[in-house]
Amino acid sequence: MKKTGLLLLISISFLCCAHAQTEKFKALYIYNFTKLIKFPESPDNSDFVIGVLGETPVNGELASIAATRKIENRNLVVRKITKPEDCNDCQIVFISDFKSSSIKAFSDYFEGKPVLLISESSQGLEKGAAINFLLVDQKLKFEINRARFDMNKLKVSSQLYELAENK
Amino acid sequence: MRIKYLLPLILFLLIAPSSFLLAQESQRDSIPMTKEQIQKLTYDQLLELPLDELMKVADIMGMSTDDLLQMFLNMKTGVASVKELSPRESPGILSIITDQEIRAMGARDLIDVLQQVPGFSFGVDVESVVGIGMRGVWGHEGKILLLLDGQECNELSYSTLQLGNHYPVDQIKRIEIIRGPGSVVYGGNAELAVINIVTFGAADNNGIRATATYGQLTHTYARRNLEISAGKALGALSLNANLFAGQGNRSDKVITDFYGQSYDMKGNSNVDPMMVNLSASYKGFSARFIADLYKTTQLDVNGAFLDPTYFKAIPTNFTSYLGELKYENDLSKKIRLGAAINYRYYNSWNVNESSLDQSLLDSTNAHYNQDYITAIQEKPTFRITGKINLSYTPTSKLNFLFGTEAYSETGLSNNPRSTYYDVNGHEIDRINYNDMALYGQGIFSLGIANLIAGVRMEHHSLVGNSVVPRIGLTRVFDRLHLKLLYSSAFRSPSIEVINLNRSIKPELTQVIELEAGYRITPSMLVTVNVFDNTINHPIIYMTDTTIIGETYYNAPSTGSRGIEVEYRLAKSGVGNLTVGYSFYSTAGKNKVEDYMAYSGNNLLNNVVLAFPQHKLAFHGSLKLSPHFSLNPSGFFLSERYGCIALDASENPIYGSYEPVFVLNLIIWADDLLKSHLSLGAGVYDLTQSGYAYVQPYVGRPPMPSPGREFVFKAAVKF
Repeated sequence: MKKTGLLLLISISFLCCAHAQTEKFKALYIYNFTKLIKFPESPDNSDFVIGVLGETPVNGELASIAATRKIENRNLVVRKITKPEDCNDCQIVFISDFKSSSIKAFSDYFEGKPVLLISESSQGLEKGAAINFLLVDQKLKFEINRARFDMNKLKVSSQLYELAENK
Repeated sequence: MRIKYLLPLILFLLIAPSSFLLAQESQRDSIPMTKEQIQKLTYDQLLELPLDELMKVADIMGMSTDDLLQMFLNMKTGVASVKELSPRESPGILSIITDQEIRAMGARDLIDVLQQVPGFSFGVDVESVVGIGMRGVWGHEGKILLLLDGQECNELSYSTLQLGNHYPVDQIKRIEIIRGPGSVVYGGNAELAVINIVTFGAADNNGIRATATYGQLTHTYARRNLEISAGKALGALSLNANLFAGQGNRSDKVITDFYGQSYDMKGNSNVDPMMVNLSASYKGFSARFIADLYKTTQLDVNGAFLDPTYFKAIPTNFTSYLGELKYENDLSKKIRLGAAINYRYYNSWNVNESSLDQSLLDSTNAHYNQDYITAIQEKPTFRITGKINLSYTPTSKLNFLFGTEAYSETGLSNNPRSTYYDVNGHEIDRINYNDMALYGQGIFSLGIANLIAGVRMEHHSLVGNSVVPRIGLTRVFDRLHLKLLYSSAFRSPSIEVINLNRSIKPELTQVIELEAGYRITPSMLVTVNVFDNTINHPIIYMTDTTIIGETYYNAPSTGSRGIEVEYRLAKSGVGNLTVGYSFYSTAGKNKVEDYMAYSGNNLLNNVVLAFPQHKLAFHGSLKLSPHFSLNPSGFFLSERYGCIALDASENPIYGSYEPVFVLNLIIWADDLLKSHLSLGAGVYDLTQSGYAYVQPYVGRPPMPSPGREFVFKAAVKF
């Protein structure tokens, strides 16, 4: 019993901040989505902002991408957010599973606005996300709510629909 | 080979060649990229990949050990509901174990994996076969369903499973376990638990992989196994073959029965597996064929050991051929159709008279032993099942499932020493039963919670009707999830049960479960569940040589209630840890005399024979460097009760067995030889705990586990 407790302590004490493989791919997918979705042009070439709600390693992964990449010649900025009002300048909002109960509030707030809402919750689409990550057969997939894209006036490449799990 | 054996193989071979032709066309769809090649890609190159290529890369890379918790939270599983839901909202108490965890713990066989799951315990049955108990109930005969790639592995004579170097654990991709009833969807063997094993398929193998395992005990080898898989996904076409062969000894210890007869288990307790698992799929069509040729030897036919001076170990075979043709596809966006034909053939508990010493079967021989004759069993069984189910999802908040199944099963006798009985008690060499089931289920997303309601109605041609409903509420908040479940389940009497008692009735179980899970941090999840399980009219085996011989009967009741806790921690770059605790109390529910435990002459109302009230198990992986990991695992079992001796009148004397703590440690070196090779080495039962499988009824002394075993594994993938 003492040995079991010791192992638990060792494991907890070694916790650090590296990121899991799935989170890396989620960030890569999100970056890739921007190539297949037409966001409104920015006349003043302002920043392309991705807001991240909740504690998630995806935030760090997106920040790594932002350090080296631009989107349509706009600087990529990744920002932690806590409420819808924090991201009036966001093009994308990623809501971690930890905050899945907030999806509906964000969806309502951004209804009709060209903001892409991405979630990773099992009922993400039903709550109002446009894209939802899920694991199928231990593989990272995503599903899409077409109506939500139409509602938020975002033009989407047909390729994105083809690649979605619920095409 | 008889035509019965060949039928599923022929079906498979009919599909496979045409699939190869189609493969030529679809080959252009595949990307010739290996894990090793992907690992050489820079981050910039990954960012440049178009989404479709990136998704293929993600598929090939799969999950890492760091993602285990993420998988548990975000994956979808249909094991408890058919419609895929996340584990936190599924209408069942679930445990999911991935290939990464199995591999990390250096699991030698399925016992090592299931030992980690709250609620499961193990006991020894006749002929040294190891079986499973669940939540303090002996589930060996027909109460726990094992599915291997969707094929039911419980044999048809007694509905048992046989554990011990039997199943190829290094070919397992994932095990989904319902720690509770699943009869509405899975029928009459899914009474206490469902163990759903998913092995690597074509897309996972994407080439060839092989694992060699060697285990050394003090006096002999414990196992020397080889698992080889080859598969390829070629566009819509997938072809896969998983092969497994090996040899093993259950232990190398000398054991003595209650009458003073001893034998050395070294060389007399063989567990030799051989399994072929072939599959092919094209679009919605799929075919599978599994040949399982598991062979054991033993000298303990009925608990009284045979004298090894005169008797050679008796070869006991557990042969099965399982075949399936299946179609599953979306008819529209709202309707999904599934249809399948299954064929199952078993020759289990098979002891061929020709394999025995003929002179010792002669009652005039000085060493003649009646047990030697009773071991003879030449009774193959087979079943053909047709299945259709329809899933209808009218809106995103509603799902309905309707299904029907019908089977015909037959038992044959190939030896007059082991026969069946007709209604008048006359010996016959063939029996046949039919069964038909209807089931339905609805899942309603009500906003405040998910409501799941379902029912199964089954009619067996001899034992009659079983009707089992279930209803559940699940709700996921941000960090918290809650489940409240009520399920009814049943055990359908198997061929041999009916053979010994044609008046037997199905047993019926009522289970109430409540689970709460809380995600403490993104890296930590804890789930706690309580259960109350009552089995009415359990089917119990009984021998009374003085009056009626052996039979089965419906006892008044048994059951248990208790609590289970599972804690998961996963942090990338560091490793992961899973700890499970379970407790049961029979709470006075057990009215089965054979299962009752005593302390001296005092009946214990909270515990049954063989199964510990408390179990704590853990497994973890600690990354020491990019190539090396340290993987401890182990379990603690509290005091267990059993028969420890017989008195002069051969009445049982009960006693208790000390608590045991088993500690295992495996070190893995990964990504050697350009990521093609992994090497593992370690030791199981490091401290020689003395762990043994106790019999859950009165019959024989405990059977030792392998004991300290030095384990070596080598895994290659190309």
